[in-house]
Amino acid sequence: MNTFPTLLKREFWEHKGGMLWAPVVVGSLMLGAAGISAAIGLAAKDGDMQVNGERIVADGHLLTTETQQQIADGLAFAIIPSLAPLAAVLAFVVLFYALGSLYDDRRDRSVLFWKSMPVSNTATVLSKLASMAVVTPLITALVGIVVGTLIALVAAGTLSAFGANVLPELLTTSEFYLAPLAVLAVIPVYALWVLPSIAWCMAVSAWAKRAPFLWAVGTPVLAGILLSWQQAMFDRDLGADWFWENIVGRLFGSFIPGMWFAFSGNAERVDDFQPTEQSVFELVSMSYASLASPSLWIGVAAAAALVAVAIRLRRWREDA
Amino acid sequence: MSTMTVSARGLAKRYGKSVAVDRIDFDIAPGRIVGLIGPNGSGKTTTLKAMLGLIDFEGDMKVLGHDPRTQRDALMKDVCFIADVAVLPRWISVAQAIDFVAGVHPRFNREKCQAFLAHTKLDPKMKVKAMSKGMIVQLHLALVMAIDAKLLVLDEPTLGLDILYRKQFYKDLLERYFDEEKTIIVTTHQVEEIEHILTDLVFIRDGKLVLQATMDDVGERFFEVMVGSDKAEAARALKPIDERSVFGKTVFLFDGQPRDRLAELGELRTPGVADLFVATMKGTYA
Repeated sequence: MNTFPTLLKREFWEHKGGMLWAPVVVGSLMLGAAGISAAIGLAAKDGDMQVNGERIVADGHLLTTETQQQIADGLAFAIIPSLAPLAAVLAFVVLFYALGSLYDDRRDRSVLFWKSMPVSNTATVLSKLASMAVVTPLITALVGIVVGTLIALVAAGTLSAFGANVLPELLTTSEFYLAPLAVLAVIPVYALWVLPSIAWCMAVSAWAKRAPFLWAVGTPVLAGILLSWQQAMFDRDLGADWFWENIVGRLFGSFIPGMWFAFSGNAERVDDFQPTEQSVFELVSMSYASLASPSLWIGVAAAAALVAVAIRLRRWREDA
Repeated sequence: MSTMTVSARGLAKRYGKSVAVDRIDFDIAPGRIVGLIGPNGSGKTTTLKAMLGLIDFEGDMKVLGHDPRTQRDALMKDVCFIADVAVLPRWISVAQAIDFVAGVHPRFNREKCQAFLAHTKLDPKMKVKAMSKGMIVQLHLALVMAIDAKLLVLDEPTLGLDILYRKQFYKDLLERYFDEEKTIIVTTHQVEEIEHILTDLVFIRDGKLVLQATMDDVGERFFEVMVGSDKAEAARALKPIDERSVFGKTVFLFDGQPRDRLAELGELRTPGVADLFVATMKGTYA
């Protein structure tokens, strides 16, 4: 008997598709795309080559042979931004996971089976929360690390074929090994930022008689539209812009890893960001700096309240 | 009172203006198999849900000494229920279901569960969505029977199953699960199929208990007499609770009339629970 690990296992069984297969499939597609790009690049060996938008090979010659190390650093760092498609997958998976989390089993009545077990509603709700905020991002991160590392190796291999052998530099640059750690290191930051978003969807999921998606997404969007409408009609500002940014944007933007840069007010720093030797460290430290933002802690407090509501609804909702 | 498995006083449940359960009192002793029988919408399921802490209610109720409203988590260690067929999640496999219950239930015996499943066609990799209703109920029963609970609540556990599965279900329940320390409460519409296993009978109608008796009491209190037309008037004078015609004779059902007096009218028989039910519930849907 070990209730909480069993509950987490249960979540994984139920959501294997979103938690494991979605990132694996998308990651494989990314690798495939990287492979095809490399193959095309190799086939047209005299062409240009761009990595991460930077032209580094022109007319078959490396632009700056003396900065191979810099290119290797860039490649290693690029592991992180190259995972954007996986970040998008994570956002969708967690959003729909949360919306169904306390609704699906009421709809198919299997809630009666779960409730026949000696598991408190608190443990049930918290296990789902942990699965979404920590376990799901962790699995995506692990898949991402494998995919990102392989993509960097493919890119380095392709460059080598162009005569710029950056592979030894890549393998000896510390960033190549730090980037995967950085991906893991920001998981707690993601979890804290996404907490209110998950909690909101869970509360709606526990409450809605039907269509939790419409309630969870429709209610804040409709409120925003009403505020904007009255602002346009009557020219009086009741805080429509603030609402869109801090409620609607924050609520649904937080599902996307990295959005914390925008919410914590250091988006400009990210826009000007230049990869250097320290860039992986910098990215992680900037992520953790976002924890100083009041928006984060207001969100965490709201999440605690919403989770309490979800637990209570789970306990007493009678339509099962 | 604390020795009772379930003990309710003034149990009531309202949904808005409609009263689902109307201040009922009852006690269920350990080691009994109680049939809770009532027409659709009579308050059976509401009563069971209140007992299992799934809904709020008015009045007092103790289940194994716990208040189901506030001590549900403790209660669920000693209580099992099968709410109805097909509430097992569709995505779960046999092996996962066993792992899950083993992981969260302190009284679950994995070997017992597997031994029971060995008698079925279920294999560990099979998922619920690939099972027939009968197989789902076999899996659910296997899980529940391997839990050493004090109270088992079954709400229409065999609804929609064919007769082979139904018979097997109650046979397994009686032979492999039930013992003197356990209590089973069961609701079903297929009364005839369970009357031989019941020790107690509770009829519920419009949220009120209309009959609460042991099966032995039922045998002493209710009689069915087949009476020829010559004695029909004499029989009617004794206020039968029901009458029906069979092959030109009339079968009367009596409640609480002395045995010897009825014996003069014709041959006595203990009525089936189904006939008793129909007689008691007359006019329910009228």
